[in-house]
Amino acid sequence: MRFLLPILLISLRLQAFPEMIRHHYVNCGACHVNNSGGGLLNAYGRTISYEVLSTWGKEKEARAFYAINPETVSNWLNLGGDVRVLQVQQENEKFKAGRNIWMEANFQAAVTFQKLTAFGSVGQIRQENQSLEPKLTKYYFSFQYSDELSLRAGRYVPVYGLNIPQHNYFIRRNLSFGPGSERDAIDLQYNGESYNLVLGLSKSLLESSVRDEEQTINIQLQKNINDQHKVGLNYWYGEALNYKKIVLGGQAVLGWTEHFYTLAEIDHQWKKNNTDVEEKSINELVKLGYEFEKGFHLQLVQEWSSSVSDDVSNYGLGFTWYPRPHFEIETLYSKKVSAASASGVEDYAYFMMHFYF
Amino acid sequence: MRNKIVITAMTILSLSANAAIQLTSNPKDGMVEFEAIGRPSMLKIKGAGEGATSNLQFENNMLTGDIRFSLKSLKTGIELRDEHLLNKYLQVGQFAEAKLTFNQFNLPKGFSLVNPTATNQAFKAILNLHNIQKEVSGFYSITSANLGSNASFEIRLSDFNIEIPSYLGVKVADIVKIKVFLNKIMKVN
Repeated sequence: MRFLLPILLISLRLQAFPEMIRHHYVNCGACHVNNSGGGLLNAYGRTISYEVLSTWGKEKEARAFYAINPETVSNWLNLGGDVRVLQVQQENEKFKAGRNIWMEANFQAAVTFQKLTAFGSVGQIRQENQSLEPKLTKYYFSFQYSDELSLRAGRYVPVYGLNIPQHNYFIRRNLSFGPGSERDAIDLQYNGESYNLVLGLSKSLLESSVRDEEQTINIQLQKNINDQHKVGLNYWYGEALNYKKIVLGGQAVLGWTEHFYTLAEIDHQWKKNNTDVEEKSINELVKLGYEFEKGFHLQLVQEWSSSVSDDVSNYGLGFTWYPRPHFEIETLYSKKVSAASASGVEDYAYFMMHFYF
Repeated sequence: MRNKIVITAMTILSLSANAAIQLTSNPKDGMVEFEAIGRPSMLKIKGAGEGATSNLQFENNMLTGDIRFSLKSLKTGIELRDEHLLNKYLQVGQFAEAKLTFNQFNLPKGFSLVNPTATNQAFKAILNLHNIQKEVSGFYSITSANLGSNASFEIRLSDFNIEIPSYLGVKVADIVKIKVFLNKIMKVN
């Protein structure tokens, strides 16, 4: 349990909304500069942030910094950034804690010249003292060979599984896909009408949250079904100084109606360390969401993680609200049941406010 | 006596098969859907509108007549996109209606209004859209006893002099898929 709080501090950094498939946004590149989603919005995404995502809002309000007219600069320049704060409460029989945390502050820019895009994100909150560091945390160059095919190289979190902002979920945290796990990476992406394929290579940094120089191969294949659902398979092979690992997984983004959606993922990880000790684990997530008013989503979350050391289930209820463009509010209350923990059941809640400019 | 009955029956059936029968449908039973692709992100733009009506004639195993549809009823789920679609591209202020005209719409051999069925049959028609007439071809099915039908075909926007929609980096592909649904077609007494 005491490990959970620090991990959460660096979670919830990226933003991506795969559930937008219920509006037939089959590929993330419709709204994001990054073809695989998350982070900086493109000009079209700004429009969608008020037309589709938010409860209220106006066209000019959604502009970057409330000022930059996308019709004049969108072909070559996209700017933005994030400020995110979080309040966390944890409680079990032995422990009770609450904290306010400044999680994220960054400035992002992407410049496009013909088929070449350069992207960079500057700014990181040092969690030890809650101070802002002007550090280049993520960057890449991408070459858009055709509408479908692109090549990207730089430092970023490689593609695996659902690209969702909640990095404290088991499927992200337990597989070391949290923030701070940006790696030197290259990937080839095919984002077509019916299929998506990502083939990537990467190497993590010793000072990253991976804590090892892991060299990896990642493959993701997704199939679009009826423009409302997407199912996919993931493969990850990693070889580091201290271990080898293989992760195999499946995922689904299901837009049942324009209001009701499901996100699901299950992964099996096999890991063998230098002393030939093998570890196997399974991590799973099912999230049900219902947008009962425009921009207001009720969410049910169920997670499960099984390994040699523990068997943990988590059940949560919460909501996400996008009141106006640039603003996101999310809260979740959950109960975690751990087979190995002496306390057994733990209450956990967070309240997050995100300003994307 | 038996032969007389058979001959009479055959004569009546023969007459009914050859006599022109007027068919029509109510606006509430008609719908038009379209699907376009926005590139480069393969965004699927789906729209629909209600109120398609038919005015058809069935004679000699053939349909003639037309299906009319008010373009103003089209909606895509995003208000700003609807506004652009209707006013900037389809220009519904000037060209409010689309019309699909059948001059020689052959029904399958042995087709009968008593038990009407047809699956994935090819057809050709003249589409009048944006004040331009162009032949289109596609497939239709008749799926129910009350002549519930659907037809699908593709058009090129450029063929109808419709500007290719483009907005903030998303450009719609020239080819658009269209489906027409008539849930019920009635005989006119």
